[in-house]
Order: sequence, then structure tokens, then C-alpha cells
Amino acid sequence: MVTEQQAVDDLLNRGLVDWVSLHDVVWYGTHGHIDAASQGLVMSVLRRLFTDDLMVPGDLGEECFEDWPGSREDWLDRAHAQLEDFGWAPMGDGLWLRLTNRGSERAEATS
Amino acid sequence: MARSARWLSVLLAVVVPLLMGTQPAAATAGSSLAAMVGSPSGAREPLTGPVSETSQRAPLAPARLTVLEPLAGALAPRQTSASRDYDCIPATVTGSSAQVPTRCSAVTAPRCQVTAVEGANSGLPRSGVAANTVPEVVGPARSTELVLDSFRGLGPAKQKTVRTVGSVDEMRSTFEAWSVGAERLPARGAKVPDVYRLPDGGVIQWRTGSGTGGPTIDIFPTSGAARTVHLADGVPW
Repeated sequence: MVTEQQAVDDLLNRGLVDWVSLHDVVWYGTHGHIDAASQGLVMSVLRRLFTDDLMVPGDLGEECFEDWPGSREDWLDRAHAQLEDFGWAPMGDGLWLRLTNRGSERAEATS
Repeated sequence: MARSARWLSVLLAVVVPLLMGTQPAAATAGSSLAAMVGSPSGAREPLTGPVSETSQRAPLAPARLTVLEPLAGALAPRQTSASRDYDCIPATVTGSSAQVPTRCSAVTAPRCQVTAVEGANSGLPRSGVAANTVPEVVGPARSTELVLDSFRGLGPAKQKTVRTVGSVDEMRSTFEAWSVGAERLPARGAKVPDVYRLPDGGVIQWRTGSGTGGPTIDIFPTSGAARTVHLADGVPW
């Protein structure tokens, strides 16, 4: 069973080399076993990343990474809506995550 | 006496046509005698082994190349014209210096349908001038596992889910080899113009930028973390 901390650390580590896809958020939170419990864990991982100011969601814009507007609750609602739309198998579609400065520091410290 | 005459007539029936440049009756009935088959140049060349009636009736038709491409998620053959000048490079490649088959004659096409991405190495030139000379790759779509085999043969990176290549050209050639025959999906914005679904549901995509700069290939298996191909450190883009 994946723990929230483990998934957060994995995603922060991934963020050191590139933006992180929604696909990876699902994978590191579920390891392929998708049920109500693991879906809940994925959402708690996202909440932790957002509220601890470790990662920011956004889209790959033409020129740069475009942060999503709105509050953290808005981000969570929008992320959940995308996961439902993609049947929890986004396969590269949907949001991306970028590390904040704080997230980078945390990732460097734990990697 | 009558027996000797019968043997003589049989002998004449075989030998005389040979001396006159025609074929004896026994040969045209499909025996295993050396056959004579028309060639594109018009010369007659011997083939060994049993000969079919077809090969004796008419010269071989010009060779055609069958390229397999998926249509609506399925593999379907598509006929394209090709000359007989193209040779098939052995299908299974194991070394980094191996080449990618380009086009194959009709005779050898089946061997070419498993091509560059088999085994631990992609078979694609890793870097340098050769990377710019990688020809068009044809064949059926790859499975995600085959793509991941090829991925593991690329250059190392700091994380095991990341591999590197030495130039943008090499990266593009790699992407095109992986995506050949796959189902094209709509672009995911200007940053992700090329997206392909492999027959088993895996997705590969070309990203024009990444968090650390430069174009990137993403591989999304149906089960597993995403894999990423980046440019090696210090490579300009």
C-alpha cells in the first residue's frame, strides 16, 4: 500500500527533472490499483502538494508553463474533475505539476 | 527388339528437345529439374528446388512492398509501390551500430516486420552523423514493451525513468521509429503536437519543451510510471 508521504516524495523527486504529469500523480498514488481508497489517497497527495506549497498545477502553454488560476480548493476540484473525465487513466492528458522553490528544496533534501 | 525401340523413342523424346533449346515433356509436368524463370532483364536464370506451374508460365511480376499501418486501431496491410532495388537488413538487431531497415523487397518483407526496436538496443544510431541518416522506418506498430526495451537502451540519466539522447535529430528519429504504425491522436496544445496511441493502449508523445529545457519524448504505459527522453546535459536545442 502506497503511503501519502511516499507518493509525495516520489512526485517531488520526479519534479526535479521535469514537470510531472497527471499520469504520474495517479501512478505514484495507486501503483496501478485503482479503487476508492487509492483514489482518496491521490486526492490527499494533491491536497498536500498544494497546501504545503510544494507544487503548482498548470497547463503546457505555447511559451511556458501556465499556472492554473484560482485557489487551492479550485485546483483540487479541477484536478478531480479531470481524473473523473479520464477515468483515472489520463495517459499524458490533463494537468501538469511544477515544483515551487520550496518544493525544489524539499526534493533536493530528500533525494 | 520392340523393347529397344521403345527405349530409343523415350531417349529421343528427352534428348532432342534439350539439344533444340526447348524443354522435355517431363520437365513441364512439374518435376524437380532445374527451372528456368524470366528475370527483369529478360535473361533466363536457373532456380533450384521444386518449381510451380506459375513460375514457368510467366515472368515474375514486379515486386511490391506491403507496409502495415493501423486503421481505426487495427493493423491492416497497405500496398505501396516499390522497386526491387531495396534490400532487407536482418530483422533482429542487437548492437548499437545496427541499422534500421528501410524498405524491403516483397520476398523479404516478412522478416522486416520486427524492426529497429527489438531487444535492449533500439538499433538506431545513438548520436552523431549517423543519427542524421536514419531512413524512413516502416513496419507494424510497436507494443509499449518493445518501446520500453528500446528506451532502456538509450543513454543514462539521473533517474531510472529518464533516458537521454545526444541531439534533437536523434530524439526525433527515435520518436518516429517508436510511433511508426501507431494511431495518431489529436495534439494536446502547441507544446504537445504529436501524440500516438500504441496498439496495447500505451501513449507516446512529443513535447516541444520541458521543465529542464529542450524537446522531450514522453512514454505513458498503461501500467507504470511515465518514462521521459531528454537531451543529454550540455546539448543545445
